[in-house]
Amino acid sequence: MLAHALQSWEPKPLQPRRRSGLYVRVVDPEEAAGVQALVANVDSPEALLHAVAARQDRQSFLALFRHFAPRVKAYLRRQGADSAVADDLAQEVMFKVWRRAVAFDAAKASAATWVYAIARNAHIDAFRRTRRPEVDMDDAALVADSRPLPDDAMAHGERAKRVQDALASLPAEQATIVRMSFFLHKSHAEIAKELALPLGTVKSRLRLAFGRLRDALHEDRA
Amino acid sequence: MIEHHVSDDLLLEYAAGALDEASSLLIATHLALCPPCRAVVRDAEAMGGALLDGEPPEAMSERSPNNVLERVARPPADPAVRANTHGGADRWAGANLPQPLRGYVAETLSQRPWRRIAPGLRQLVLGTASGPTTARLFHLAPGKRIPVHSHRGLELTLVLQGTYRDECATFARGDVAQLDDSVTHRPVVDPSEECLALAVTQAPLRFRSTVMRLIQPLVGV
Repeated sequence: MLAHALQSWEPKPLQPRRRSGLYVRVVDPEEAAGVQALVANVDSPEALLHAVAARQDRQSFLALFRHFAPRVKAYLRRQGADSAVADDLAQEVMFKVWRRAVAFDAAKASAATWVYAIARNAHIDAFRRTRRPEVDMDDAALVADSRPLPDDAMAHGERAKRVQDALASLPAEQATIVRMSFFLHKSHAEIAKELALPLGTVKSRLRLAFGRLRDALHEDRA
Repeated sequence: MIEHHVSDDLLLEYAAGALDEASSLLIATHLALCPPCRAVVRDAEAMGGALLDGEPPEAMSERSPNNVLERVARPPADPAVRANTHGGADRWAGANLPQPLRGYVAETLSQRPWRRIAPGLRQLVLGTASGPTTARLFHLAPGKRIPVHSHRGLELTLVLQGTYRDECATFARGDVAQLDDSVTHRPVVDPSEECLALAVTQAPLRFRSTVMRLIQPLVGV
């Protein structure tokens, strides 16, 4: 399922207008390859978010909407929301995506990860009716990170793929727990109870899964 | 330099949105002070991002993209009102506290004052959603000794100012002590400076002394 979603970026022409416009100028194959990479980059969700932030670009936003809104809706449906409620809330999430696009930092998260955090918090707000305390990255009292972060968007797309692959290759017993935790927002104790497993087993499986994912994320720095 | 971090297990639960508000408040406040733990949470959220990307899409209503575009075209309402970031005269509402804690403290102080629960010990129960856990700020006088106690369930303590030590270690700004019911300890505040700490408890403390246990309901610890 994950591998399938991964492919879905490539064949889908998100912005045909821009793509054909670029192809017109292409002459030699080497340049074609370069432009191809550029186009892929322009169509990446991270680039689309930057376009929304920089120029309030509605076409880029619509491309993001087509990709993320149906997935956010599906995610919310898993929480038990009916279709109309999930639709409304997915719209709310996309509204926040537009409003907060300026705060998106491709060096820190992929677009999917960033949208996930917004959707997760919207879910907590709406269904649990509690606030979600979050770090304020603009706070003067924040202790800044002294280590530099990798910041090119291409490398980021690559990392996102590696995470997808790492998740897709998890043993079922780990994948189930990752899903219950990150998608159904169950505590480790609740997961242990539901699966009739010792708490320590739940924690160690999740740690193993997380270890694999971190290896995939930081392969280039090893 | 922070020496005592939050366990990866708790950071994973925070990233997954599986923690109650009080525990999330403590962890988010620690994250504001601790770049390495922020990096762990970022990595953990990538699992959620990959799951979201792999979700089979469910068709949105036809009107939905235009609904959102119409909404963003409208001028924003009042500039987002931050949860009272200035909390009156109380000095703890000042910039010494990182967000999101500062907002919670200011909001709470606009409703009720600190409460003295013993000589050299004041507390402020913060306004988080009611549930199994409670978040409270403790203000302890220099050199203050807390009677020997253990914990029912998990307790998290984040030091915001000053230091305290117990039998095992010393805790300073940004450090988190994660204690469970296997630990009985007797924290002592450094004599040179007062101490401010945020504690999240799942259940009332269990004091070893009978007197402390008897007065416990009265002082509300």
